[in-house]
Amino acid sequence: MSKNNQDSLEARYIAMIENNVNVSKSSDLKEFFILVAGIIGFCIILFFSADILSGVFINNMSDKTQAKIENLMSLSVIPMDLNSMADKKYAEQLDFLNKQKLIIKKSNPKLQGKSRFDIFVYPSDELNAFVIPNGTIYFTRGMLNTIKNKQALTFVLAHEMGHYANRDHLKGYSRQIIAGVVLSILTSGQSDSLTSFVQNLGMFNSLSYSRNQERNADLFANSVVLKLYGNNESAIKFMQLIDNKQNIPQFIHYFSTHPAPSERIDLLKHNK
Amino acid sequence: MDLLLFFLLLVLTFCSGSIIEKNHFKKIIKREKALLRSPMVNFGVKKWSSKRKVIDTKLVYGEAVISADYFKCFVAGLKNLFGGRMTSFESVMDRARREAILRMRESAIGSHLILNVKVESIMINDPKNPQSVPQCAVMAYGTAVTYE
Repeated sequence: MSKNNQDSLEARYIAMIENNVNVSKSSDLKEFFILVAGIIGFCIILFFSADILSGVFINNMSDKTQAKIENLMSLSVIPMDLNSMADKKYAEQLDFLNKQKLIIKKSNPKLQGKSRFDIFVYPSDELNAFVIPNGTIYFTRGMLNTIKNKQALTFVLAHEMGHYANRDHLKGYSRQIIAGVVLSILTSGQSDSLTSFVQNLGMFNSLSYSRNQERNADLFANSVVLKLYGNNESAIKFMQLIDNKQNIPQFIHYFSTHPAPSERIDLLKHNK
Repeated sequence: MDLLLFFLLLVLTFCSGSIIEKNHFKKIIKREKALLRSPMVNFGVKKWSSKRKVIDTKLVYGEAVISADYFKCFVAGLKNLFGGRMTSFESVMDRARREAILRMRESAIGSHLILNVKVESIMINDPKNPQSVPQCAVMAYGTAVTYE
C-alpha cells in the first residue's frame, strides 16, 4: 500500500470519529422547548374542546340528571349553619332575601323543583356573593355591610340564581375536573403537586365563571329587577360602586373573571 | 414550591449533564484517535490461521454503564407522548458504546489485532419499576491476538 493511500485512509477514519452520525446534531434544549410548547398547545386545545363539549352536554341534559349530579356533588360539601354564627344584624336583610328568593323562584320555570336556595352569610369582608353546586347561596359579610339598598341586593341574589338557572355551577365544576385531568396528563401522573395545587385553589376559584356566563347572569338579574321594581337605577348604582371599589387591589382578583364594570353598566343601561 | 424545585432541578441537571457529556465526547475522540492504528475486526472467524506465528491469544473486554441525566429523561418522557427519534438518549447510547469499545481496545494494547469483536447491550435496571434510572450498559468483547 502506498504511503499516500494510507494517509487518505487515516484521514477517513479521523473524519468518521469527528463527524459522528449516531448522534443527532439538534440540541436537547431546543427539543425541550419545542416539546413543551407542543404539549401546552395540545393541553389548551384539549381543555377548550372538552369545555365546549361539556357545555353542550350540560345545556341539554334533563333536570333529573342535573339533580343526580348535584346530589353527588353536595356530598363533599360540608353543611355549615353559618347563620347561627353570624351577627343578628343581618337578620333583616336575610329575611328580605328569602322573601325575594321565593318570588324569583316562582317567576322562572328553570328554578322550580330543584334547590331550596338556602341563603347564608359567609364570614369574609370581601365584596362578594356566590352559589355552590347544590344551590345554596352565600353572601359575604362585606357585601351585606356595604349594600343596604334592597334593589341592589335583589340584583345580586338574582345574579347568583341566574348562574344556577344557566347551570353555570355545573360548568364551573366540569371545567375544574377537565383542568385536573389535563394537568395530570401534563405531569404524566407522576407529580401530585400541580394537581393538588389546582384542588387547593378553593371555592372562589372553582366557582369563577367565564365573562359570557357573567353577562347572561347579569341579563337574567336585570330582567328580574325590572319586573319587580320597574327600573334598575340602584343596580346601576351598585355596579358603579364596584367600579369604584375596583381601584382597590384587594378586589381585583375576584372581579377579574367578570367583564369590566363599565361594560356591565352599559349592559344594564341598554336593557331598560 | 414543588414546581420551583422541579424547574431548578431541570436547569441544574441540564447544565451539569451537558458539561459532562461534552467532556466525555472530547475524551472519547482523543482516545479513539490515539488507537487509530490498532485494528479490530469481526468477520465471523471460526477457525483462523495466519502466516505469522501467534504467541498469545486472550479474551479482552470492556464495559461501560452511562446514565442519562434528569433533564434528558424528562425530554424523553415528553417525547414519549408524540413519538419520534429520542435524540436525547442517542448521545447516551453512543457514549456507552464507544466507551466500552475503547476500554476493550485499551486492555488489548500490545497485541496486534482484535478478532471477533462483539458489542452487546445489557439491561441493568428494572423496566417494570418506574423509579428505576434509565441507563445504558454496553459490553464489548473480542479475542486479542499477539504475533511474534
